[in-house]
Amino acid sequence: MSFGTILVDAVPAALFAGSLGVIFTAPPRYLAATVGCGFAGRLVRDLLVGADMGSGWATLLAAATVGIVAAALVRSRSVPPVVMIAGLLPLGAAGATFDMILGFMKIPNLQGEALRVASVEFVASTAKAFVTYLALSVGISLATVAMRLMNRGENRAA
Amino acid sequence: MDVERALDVAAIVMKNGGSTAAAERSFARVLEGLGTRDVTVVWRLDYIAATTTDGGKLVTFIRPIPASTVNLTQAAGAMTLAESVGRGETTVDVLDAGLDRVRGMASPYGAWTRIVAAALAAGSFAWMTRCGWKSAAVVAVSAAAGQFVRSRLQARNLTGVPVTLAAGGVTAMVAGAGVRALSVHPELPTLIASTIYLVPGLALINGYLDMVSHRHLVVGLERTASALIIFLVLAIVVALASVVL
Repeated sequence: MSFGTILVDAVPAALFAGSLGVIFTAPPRYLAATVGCGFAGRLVRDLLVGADMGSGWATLLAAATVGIVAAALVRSRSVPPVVMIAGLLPLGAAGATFDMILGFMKIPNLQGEALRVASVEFVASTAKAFVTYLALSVGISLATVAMRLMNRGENRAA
Repeated sequence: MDVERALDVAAIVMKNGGSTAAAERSFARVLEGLGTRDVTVVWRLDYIAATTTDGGKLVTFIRPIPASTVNLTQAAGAMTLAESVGRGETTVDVLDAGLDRVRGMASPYGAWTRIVAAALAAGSFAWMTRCGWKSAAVVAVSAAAGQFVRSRLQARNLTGVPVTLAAGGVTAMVAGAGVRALSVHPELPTLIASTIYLVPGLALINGYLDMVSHRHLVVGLERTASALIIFLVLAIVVALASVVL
């Protein structure tokens, strides 16, 4: 995938993050940061996946990027949760989670080869959803810890 | 008492969509700022209980956490207030006034703005998953219809599964009708994209954050299970819409 395509693909992610920011009642002054985080997260993940990194690791690093970009854009000691959460959601595995539940509902009605294929798809979508959300939380936790350590360092220096 | 004030701040954070780790940090910062120690806390999704000693006796304070609509403006306000108390910049009187101010923070956006936001969220998700422009238009209209129903129900203080069922049902049916009328492809991803604004992504991320912190494993599991129930409701309405239409 070319860099131009990756850049264009990050635009709907930014719009998605901004819209969710409004739905989650983010203060208007944080909306631009929310849009920026959504854009940066998706851009980093697609770039890393394009460089043959596994989806889970790419999501983890993209989530950490969201945390760092949020801190840079908000320029405050503590980043409001709404900025990080809305910025993370475009990286979420909503599609895989839906596939998981729809697959789960379909499996009892199947037999033979169809059952085998559906079972494999169910396990795959479950694993994808689990790993994605885990990567998001680990990535954002790493960014939060890093920011807290930096704040402590600044406080000591002051 | 100082413990009750700290509990009030933490309850606002939890009730409005903050993670348990964020609520715990706010709780600790308020107690730190007010110079209170030796408090034991039990965190649950539906209540917080804090035990301390008062005149040599053990006293437990409980704050229920009602299921309500997410208002991250209030959560952010409570966290900022807690940090300010922790740094010693806010006195008890100012904290009390600040708590009232945070509780009164309404959503900065009107119902129509949120309807447009739901349409934009669903439309951009369809774009993100390469469903095509026709699909994006259908999901935007259906998400707007569903968000309209959701805002009407939330105005009557309804929350949780019934609201998701009603709003998701309307959304999926409108999307299904649009898919059929305009011969939109792909069908199932379009139906899923239409309900994306109802997906409990916030609850799932908070749930995993709680589990990763390891201190709040039970609350994390509660949040994740609750989010999966919402996903199940959405999957049922999507499956119904795909069968009926």
